[in-house]
Amino acid sequence: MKKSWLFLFLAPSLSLLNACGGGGGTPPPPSAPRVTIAAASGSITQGQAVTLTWSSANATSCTASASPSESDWSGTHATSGSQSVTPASTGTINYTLMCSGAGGSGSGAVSVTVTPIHFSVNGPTFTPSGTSFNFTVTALDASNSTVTSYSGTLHFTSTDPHPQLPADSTLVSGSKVFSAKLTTAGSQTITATDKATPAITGSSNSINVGVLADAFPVEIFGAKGDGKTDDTAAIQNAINAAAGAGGGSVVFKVARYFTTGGFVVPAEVVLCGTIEGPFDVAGVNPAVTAIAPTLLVTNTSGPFLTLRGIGAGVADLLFHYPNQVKTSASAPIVYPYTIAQVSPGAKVVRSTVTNAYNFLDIEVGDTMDQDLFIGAFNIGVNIDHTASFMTLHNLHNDVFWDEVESASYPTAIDTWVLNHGTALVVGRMDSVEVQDFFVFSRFAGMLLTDSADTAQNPTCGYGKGSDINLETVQYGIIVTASNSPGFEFTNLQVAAAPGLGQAAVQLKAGGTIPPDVLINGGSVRGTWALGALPTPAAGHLTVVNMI
Amino acid sequence: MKTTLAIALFWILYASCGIPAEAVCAGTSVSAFGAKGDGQTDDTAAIQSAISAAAAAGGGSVVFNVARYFTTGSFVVPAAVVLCGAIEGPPDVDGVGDPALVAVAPTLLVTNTSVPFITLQGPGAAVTDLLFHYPKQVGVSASAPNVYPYTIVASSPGTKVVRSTASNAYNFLDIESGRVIAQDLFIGAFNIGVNIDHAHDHVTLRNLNHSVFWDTYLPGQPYPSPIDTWVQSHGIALVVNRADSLEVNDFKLFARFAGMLLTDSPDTTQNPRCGYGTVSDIDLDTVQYGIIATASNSPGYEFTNAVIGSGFGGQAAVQLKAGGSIAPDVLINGGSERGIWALGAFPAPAAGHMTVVNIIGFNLP
Repeated sequence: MKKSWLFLFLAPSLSLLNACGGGGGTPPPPSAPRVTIAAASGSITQGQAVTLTWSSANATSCTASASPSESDWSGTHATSGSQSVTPASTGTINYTLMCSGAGGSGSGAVSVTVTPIHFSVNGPTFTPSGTSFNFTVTALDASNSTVTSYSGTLHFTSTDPHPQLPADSTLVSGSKVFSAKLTTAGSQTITATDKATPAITGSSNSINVGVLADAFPVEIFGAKGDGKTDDTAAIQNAINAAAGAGGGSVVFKVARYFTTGGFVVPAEVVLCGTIEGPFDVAGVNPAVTAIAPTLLVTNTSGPFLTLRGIGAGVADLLFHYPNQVKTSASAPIVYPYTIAQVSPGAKVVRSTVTNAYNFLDIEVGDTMDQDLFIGAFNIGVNIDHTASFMTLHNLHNDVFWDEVESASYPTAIDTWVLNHGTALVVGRMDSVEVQDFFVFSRFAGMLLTDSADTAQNPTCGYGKGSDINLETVQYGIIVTASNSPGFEFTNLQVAAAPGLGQAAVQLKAGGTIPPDVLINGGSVRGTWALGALPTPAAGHLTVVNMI
Repeated sequence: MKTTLAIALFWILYASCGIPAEAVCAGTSVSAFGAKGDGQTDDTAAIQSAISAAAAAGGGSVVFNVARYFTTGSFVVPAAVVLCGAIEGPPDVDGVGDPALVAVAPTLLVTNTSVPFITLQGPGAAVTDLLFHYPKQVGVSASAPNVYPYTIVASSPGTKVVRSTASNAYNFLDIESGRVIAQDLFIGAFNIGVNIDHAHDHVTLRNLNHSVFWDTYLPGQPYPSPIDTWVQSHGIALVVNRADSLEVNDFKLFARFAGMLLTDSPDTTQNPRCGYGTVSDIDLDTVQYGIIATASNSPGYEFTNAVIGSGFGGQAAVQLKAGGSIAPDVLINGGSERGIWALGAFPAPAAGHMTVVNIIGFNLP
């Protein structure tokens, strides 16, 4: 219809031109080319093809162009024909054909409107690793209405390096439910993309792949774990999220999380690593190589972690101080305690510290600390304000800083530790239980004494220790005060630091309550300047079955 | 049905964490790499893929569900990679039936006969909460076991084996490095439970229980079976060669030829070839020899709270033999011995020094 109307319109105007040209006998000038072009449909959806059909008169060659440009509508074209085009752009596209001939040039154009499509990919917010779940893909237009006519083929990808994704597939009436498995813990997404038109795409919501309920991987909150980026804010956000959920595990992968701040761990929140600790560092520098879920500590203003609330805990983590001095230094840099336990029910288990100044400060009873490797220059564990029972089980105090640098014992810093370091300091403590306590190379294994806080009554403690091995020390155990019934040790082994040994067990004067110490079973080795078990300056020392 | 199983596994996975949750075994399930865990399909390749993926990620846990993973190969576990079960171990097999047929724990079925099944190579490499079973081992009515290599070799410092069980192994754990922890293990090995050598730094063994697990998974099986007789004249729970500062705590065994053999390493390139350490809370029940020592490095071995009971014509609770590179020095302070010993409970040492104090003999005829 349109074509014939156009023709009728052009015919009179041509005869008019003829009449005005008027030279008798002169041939009429060549007619200018005329072009007609049409699209099979003026409105399609993204990814669909449309057929353009064109014809021309008075033309010898034609050139195609589109605005915005389209790769499949350009260059030289025949003077008539048809071609299927698939628009890469969306919106209104003008397809133009310019033809030229002896009479000049002429052009024709047609516009096609392309409605954009995107995919919505809806999956669960959480899935256990390796467990299949369903997700829905829907083709939507700009106003988020389902495009039921969408007929493209989808391809799936994921941020998970080890996903199990569906094969390439079409949709049914613009939508379909698929099944997949994700395996890598952390925040992952699934992306659906049209195979032929990659511009048609869509990614899922964040799918938290975890293996435990109430797990808050710090990566989800933006932690990098690259050993350089300050992850303090991300870790704090993870702790806040766990606390906001009523408790949960803040999970650290095998990576190095550099921090500048400190953290308060509230009730029922546990900071934990993804592999079993405690971790040994033989020949490995944790600041450079990740062999464990590692927190790099640089804060100098307060304890790095404060466990405040019942159930607050630390498990399977490695704490390392990357800015601490090397083993060739004559004295360490002073840092606050790595961890302070200030609430009952808090615990620290299966963890390691290297290059700390002071490691663990227990300021309350009903706490538990177990399976720890402690490399602290000054004080390994300090106990005070503990008006109730507490347990230390399997603590290993050693010279981990030598291992970090693969340095031979003794280093310069070891000499400082031999003159200053104390593995365990006990102030006010009502019933401590210590089992499997190993010490290598310290000034003293244990100092049982009065608290500096004289507001307490009493200011000293009592308890039991068994299977204690204090190796290479100036003093095994120094006691200045104990509350009734005193301290009782079973299977106590004490060995003198060569040339430095003072006493295996010494009871000193000056405490608020003269100490009472019983040692039943064990052994003493090496040479002691004051004698292995010198006569107490105060209190009572009973030693039986000691060899 | 499948959904029900998935939900069940889901909850089993969750059951491993109480409140507060501790995400120790948080990682990628071997099922995500195609492991079937059906007790028949060879899952070796799938497990290897999971280990490789964890290693490529810089470390992490490879998680085994409560299922039976049949294997024909062996695995090297690199630094910071942990093979772990989805539920807390160590699993016991008492009366539950054959672990090759019934999944009571995350179970690895081991059939490889040429090399150690697992080699822990690199700091942080570990095994936790798994059950290792040898489905092709002989039945308890056989007169001698099939020989297999060690189930696990710990060849690097910083490695550990915890909360796991072996049943029907020939030799279980070979510790070939210092700074290794073995803790909370149930060990059913016919020949050697734990072997230690080339340990130039401390090694810690805590809470190890050696028993006749092969009898106990068969309901109603009376003790002793014929295979028990072989173990009574061959099996040793702990063999120590070179070990500088061994620490053993809570070590229990039932029915072995010897509880501990403290001796020289066959590797004569070491100097010294023998070890020293402290041992406490050990219960060596029903043995021909409790402890045999042929050599020790200074300051020797010290035992506290050693309880030793004779069986099968008990020979000696503790015997120091001649022939070692350094004459052994053994101190026993506290404990008890019972039963009848052909050589006497503490025969005069053929070499070295033995000091025994605070030991009580009871139940003597």
